[in-house]
Amino acid sequence: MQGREFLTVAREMARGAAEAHWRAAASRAYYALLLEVRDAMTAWGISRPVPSQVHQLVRRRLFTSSDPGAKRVAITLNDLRESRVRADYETEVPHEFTAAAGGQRAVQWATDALKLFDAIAADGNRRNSIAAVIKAVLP
Amino acid sequence: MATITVPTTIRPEALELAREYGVERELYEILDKGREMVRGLRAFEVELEPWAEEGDVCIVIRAVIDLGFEDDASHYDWKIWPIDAYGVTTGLRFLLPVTPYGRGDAG
Repeated sequence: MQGREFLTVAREMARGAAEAHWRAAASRAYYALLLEVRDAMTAWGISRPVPSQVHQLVRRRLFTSSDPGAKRVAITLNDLRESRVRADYETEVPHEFTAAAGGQRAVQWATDALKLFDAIAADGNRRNSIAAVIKAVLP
Repeated sequence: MATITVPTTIRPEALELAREYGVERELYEILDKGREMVRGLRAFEVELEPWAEEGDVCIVIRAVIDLGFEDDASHYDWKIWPIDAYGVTTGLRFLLPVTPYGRGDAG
């Protein structure tokens, strides 16, 4: 299974009828992007993060690159992390999850970031350049 | 853009952690930059991330904006600024969400 398949689930959740659905949408959207980037980097020859480091290391690796697209994906991952933690743990505060728009927003972020990341991955020179920088610093 | 005054709430535990991480100066500089850069800014809410499965909890600097300013280009510029200014290790101490949905207790 690919991480992006969680985005399909996130879209379904965002169309749901209740706050729990919209929170679940934000959570699945985060993992769709996180896991997709993790697995792509592994395919580029970068070591697979151990489970206890994956959230930190994937973001750190994206920011380590000087590629503006990779940094933009990293910022989206930051935004989704913040949204997802509130969605999953801070249930006593409604935040943006009083309406479907809260979940839809996270899904849109992840969709846009995945599209950008796919474009990076499809460009061999760009991908190799990013991978080389990451391998030198955080192999 | 001129610096503006906006309601700012810094929770004591967030300030304490910023001191523990050695990033208190950076916290205030990020707030100052936000006042200069973020279009539609209504308030700042500084607090701790409620949970982290791994590693260190981040300091959340939430810029609460007016509806209608979502996804303004200035927001990305502010979010990336700490990474460019301080480097990845210090920059990753912070999360900078920009949202119309604050806790409502700023000011």
